[in-house]
Amino acid sequence: MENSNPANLKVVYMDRLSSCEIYFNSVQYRRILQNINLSIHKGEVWGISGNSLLEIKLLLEIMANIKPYNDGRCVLIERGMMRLKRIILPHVFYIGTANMIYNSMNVLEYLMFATAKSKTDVVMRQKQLLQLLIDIGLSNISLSPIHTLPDEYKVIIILLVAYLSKSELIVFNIPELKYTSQQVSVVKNIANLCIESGKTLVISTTDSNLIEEVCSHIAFLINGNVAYSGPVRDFCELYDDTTIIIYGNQLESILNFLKNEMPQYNYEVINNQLIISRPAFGYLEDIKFIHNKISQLQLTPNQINLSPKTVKNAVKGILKKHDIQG
Amino acid sequence: MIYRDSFFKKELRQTYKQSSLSTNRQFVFGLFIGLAAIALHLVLMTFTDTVLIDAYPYIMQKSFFTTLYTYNFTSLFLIFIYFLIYYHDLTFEEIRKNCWYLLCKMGYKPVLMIFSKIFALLFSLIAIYTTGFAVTAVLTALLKYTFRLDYIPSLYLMGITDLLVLTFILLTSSLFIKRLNIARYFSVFIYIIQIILKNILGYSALVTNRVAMQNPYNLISFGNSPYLMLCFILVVLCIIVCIFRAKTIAKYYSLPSETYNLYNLPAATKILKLESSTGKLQNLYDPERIQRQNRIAKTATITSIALINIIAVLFNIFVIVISISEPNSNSYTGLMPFLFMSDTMQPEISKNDFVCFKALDNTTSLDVGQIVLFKQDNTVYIERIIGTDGENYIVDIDYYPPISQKGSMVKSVPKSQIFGVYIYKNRWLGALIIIANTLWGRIIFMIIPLLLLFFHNQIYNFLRKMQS
Repeated sequence: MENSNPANLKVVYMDRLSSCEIYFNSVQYRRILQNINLSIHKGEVWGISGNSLLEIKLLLEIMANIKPYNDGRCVLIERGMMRLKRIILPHVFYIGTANMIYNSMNVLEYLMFATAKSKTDVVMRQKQLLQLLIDIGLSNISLSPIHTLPDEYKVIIILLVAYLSKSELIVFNIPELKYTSQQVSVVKNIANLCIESGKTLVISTTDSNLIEEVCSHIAFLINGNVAYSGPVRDFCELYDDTTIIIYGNQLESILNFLKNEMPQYNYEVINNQLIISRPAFGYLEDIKFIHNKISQLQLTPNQINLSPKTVKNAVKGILKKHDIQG
Repeated sequence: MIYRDSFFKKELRQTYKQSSLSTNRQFVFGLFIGLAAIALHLVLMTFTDTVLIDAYPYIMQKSFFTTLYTYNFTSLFLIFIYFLIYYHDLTFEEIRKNCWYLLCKMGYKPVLMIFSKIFALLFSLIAIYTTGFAVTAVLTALLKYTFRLDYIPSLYLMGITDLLVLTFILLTSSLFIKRLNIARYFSVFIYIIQIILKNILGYSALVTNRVAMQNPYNLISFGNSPYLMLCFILVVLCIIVCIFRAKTIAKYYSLPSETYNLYNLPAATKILKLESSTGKLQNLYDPERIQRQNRIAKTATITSIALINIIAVLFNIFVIVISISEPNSNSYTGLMPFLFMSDTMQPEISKNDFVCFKALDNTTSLDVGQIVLFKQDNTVYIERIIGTDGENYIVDIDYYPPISQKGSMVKSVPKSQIFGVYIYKNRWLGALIIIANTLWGRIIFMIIPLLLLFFHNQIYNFLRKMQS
């Protein structure tokens, strides 16, 4: 585990880890997490996602050493964690609920209160915090009482406090929340600040947009196992097998024709879009071939697009691959 | 505006964003308690002709002692309610919600936070109590009651002690109890225990003794009642526990109660936990058991509401019957219940007592000493048989008011005019009927059960929401 290069410092290292918690459905037992292997380096932003909120929440709780694990090994910032003791290490900042802040204060006041132990001048500190709120896109709520804000904003404020702390690893574990695009943009700005200051951020979420916008890496859990862990870009390349999206009014005719001509592809019609995909990646060269086939039909669709690789599609792809309904 | 960032100031204003808002709120609350105490005193004064004057003379008199004593239990009750409402801000509940975990990560020291919280809370509660105490004293002076200074230190000490004990027990319990609703039930339990303990240890008798209350030393004296000494030991213990426990748990993330039902788990899936030390499986989540518990909780709530309603309906019917019934009304059951509205039969029957007479038939024999109901010249009388005169009975009242002539009510009554004989009285029932006929009585005994009847589903859902 020793690593001389601080940039490659393993912040989280899990090796064949399994949880103490077990599912039981009157027929069989299964550990909620089993054989988890994960390696997170300093300065990375990880999105932990999966088909079960419970599994991803539990993984991050074990990662922050809030809950014990049964088997395997878990190392945080190159320091081994005791398997059973629930000690939150000083360099780990765990965010597990939106209730951690005082509702009666406003946002700027709370940030002033949270950072009161820093040695900077009060006037200067308030000025800096206000500027920080403006820079990351929270100027609209900077003077709003916290009790008036939805949970998503509350946890973003806590995340901002975590960034202002000295903790090296921030574990952001509230996967049940759904963020708006504006909130995602704020989280992205905070994540960038974390990266700049050498902090590592681990986010549990099922929000594909959040992962796409914010995270550099993703770990995807399926049935208690890590189905994928690595860069988000590779995840999309690997599992988003949508190749072409056709927009138009005569999609049924096009669909029937293509099904006969090219049965090796998968077809799906959603909201006036015909989505054509292959079960595995690497068939982009076929796009020209598909275009030629549609041209033969002499039905001109409104638009034919090469689909961008998205986390949302990749999640669908990985779930389909594991025979799970998304 | 530069925001204040001291933990002590935050505690003083109970996390409100403006100190003036918080200070005003606390001052107004003190004022409200004082006004509520005087209002309660004035309401009680309307029941001086009931059993209350005998049962609780110390709250039924026109004196400073009475108003300040009334203030003491009003303030304890209202501050207790205040605690339940602002439980999160006033107790160490914020540690359980991980507010302190976050602050510790930002460099705050738990021990300093603990002391700040305790001192700020005490300061704030004493300020509220003292404001109310002063308001009550001023309003009592306006009522032109005779001012007596010698009771005041003892009454103030009594009120402050009750407040301190309640505060420290709630503070300490908040460090151990995870769920807010359980904490609230526990608080109610503590409040009741405190009342029982005062009675058992003779403290209640001591504080209602006007002579003893003239000297504050009597309250402290172990010989009179060990209650205050016990309170002192309890408070010291609570402070020690608070410091050690709060310091320990503030540094660690406290897991909230698991809400597995949020995770859309497949139906009939249980979650178990393997205890590494024992190798045993512990049940963390069982949907069937939760459904069973919910069914039981719903049945219990609905049954309780139904029971309250049935009792309320029966009581209201009873009150209406008693209110309209008169001594000479016809009896279908052989009993004649009504409110006795005179002093003439004291001490056997007092004014406003609920009394019950048995209808007389030809076979019933009457003895000397019995109280009877009879009619003469179309007027109904209630008097005691003091002798016989041939076929007639000689009757008289028990009590002549000071200005009336003794013996003026002696009558000779033939048995044919006697139609009822006294069998039962209940002073508390009489007081209850009188209270039920007041505006507040109507609200308590009629409107609240009606609301429960029509909105029991909403109440049940609200309670469930509060619990979750």
